[in-house]
Amino acid sequence: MLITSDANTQLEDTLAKMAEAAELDLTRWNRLKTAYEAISKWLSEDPDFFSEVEIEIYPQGSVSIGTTTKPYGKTEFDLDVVIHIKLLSSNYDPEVIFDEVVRRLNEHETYKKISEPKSRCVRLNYQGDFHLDVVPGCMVVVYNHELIDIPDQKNKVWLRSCPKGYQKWFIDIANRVQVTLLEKAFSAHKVEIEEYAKKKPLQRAVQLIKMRRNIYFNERPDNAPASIILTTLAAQFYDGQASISETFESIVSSIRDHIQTLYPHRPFELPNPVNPGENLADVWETKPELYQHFISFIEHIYKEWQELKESHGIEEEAELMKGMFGEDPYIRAMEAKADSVNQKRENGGLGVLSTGIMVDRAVEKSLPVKRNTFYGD
Amino acid sequence: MEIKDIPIHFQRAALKARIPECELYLDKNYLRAKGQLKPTPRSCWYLYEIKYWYREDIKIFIRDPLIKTELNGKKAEHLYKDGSLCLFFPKAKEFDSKKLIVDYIIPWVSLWLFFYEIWLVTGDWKGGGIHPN
Repeated sequence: MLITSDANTQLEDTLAKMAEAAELDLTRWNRLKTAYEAISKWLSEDPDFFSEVEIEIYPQGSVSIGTTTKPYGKTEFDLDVVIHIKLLSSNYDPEVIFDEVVRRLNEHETYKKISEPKSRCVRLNYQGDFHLDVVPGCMVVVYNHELIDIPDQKNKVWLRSCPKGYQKWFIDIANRVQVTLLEKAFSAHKVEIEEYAKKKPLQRAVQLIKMRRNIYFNERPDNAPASIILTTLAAQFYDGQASISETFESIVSSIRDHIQTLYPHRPFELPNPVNPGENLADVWETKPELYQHFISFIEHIYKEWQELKESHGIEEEAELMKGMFGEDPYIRAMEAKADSVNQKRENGGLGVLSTGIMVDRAVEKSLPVKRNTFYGD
Repeated sequence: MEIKDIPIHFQRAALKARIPECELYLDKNYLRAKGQLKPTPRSCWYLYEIKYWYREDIKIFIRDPLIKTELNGKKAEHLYKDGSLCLFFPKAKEFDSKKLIVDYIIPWVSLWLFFYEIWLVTGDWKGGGIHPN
């Protein structure tokens, strides 16, 4: 991590590291990849229904847009994968496709034990790693490889979806920033940018908002706004800010203004940016109390963020950050920071300014911190 | 060539030159320095007091805010019984009367505070060191 005399960079560095601490790590990411490749292979090897059918399998949702967040207090991530079946939905009843997927998965000894059919997907529970929602989808028209129809087996209807289109929409917006604050800071330090600092501010801000949501609604998860709502709103209100903190603040303030000026009493519609006929927030129509919970949540994080900005000292800041985003990610960020300082201490690269602020000697003109051994009880 | 002990008024002059706002008091073989510093830009200011007895001893205290000596039943690390900071290993001569306080002790106060803050918020001392017992 960065050792810097700039307070904003210090905050930015901590926020990025915290979001990283709560996201899908590389080991699990590889397990996920192995898992869905195995599913794809198993389906393709079906001697029956899927034998002559082309299948494409890809992640959707948070994995595809780089915004995974571990559910609070749980070990398993909730992840989605699409089985894009290259058959036209118009030729099939939704339950036929759904049942074929269930049938084939249940022919596999392991899948049979860990599968749990839901209304629009089959959930595979990989204990200790993730709950993988396997969502089947058929082609809508032959020339469009992004649009899919998802079978809703409960209501026996096809539901239009466009996960690839959504991914592209989100990533394009996230990439509106030219150079991020952390990219700038790392390049000033003349070192290769570390992995945790590579994600875009929009991705990190979405993760932090979801981390906050998970804690805020920990006792009543049913009241929590869905990730797709938070993610879509965040991207819509993002204005290319270079830092996570500016992005977080601007998104939360914009949502708050949007509610206060136009929709203080009745919920707003949130058209799916790649499928405008679909209202992503349709649940607020049927359950208006959920909209009230959403408003309270936004109001709450708005106030907390103001407090965080005005906080004095590490102790107060730590208290707020742990409350907002979780104790574990905060502690992991602080440990990483201590490691960086110790590394610099070892190689003589740690410097100190006349204010006492410790810096990287390669970046800021400073006096060296001599080697020492803290001795005594 | 043997390195000589640094006369105490040199210690005073070096502190004054490097940290002009430092409050200094010199009486024969005793030097006291008071000042403030913060280990990171988001930290609060800490008031420190250094008491130096030429060729004999040096004690470093944090006067404000008060240092917590215990956290959830766990004792703070690297503090002497009188509340002064354990910054260096005397036997290894990491600091002695041949070295400048401003070059050695002051940066270590920052470093100690850095790890103290991490200890405050994580419960673990990450700065390493030796416990004599």
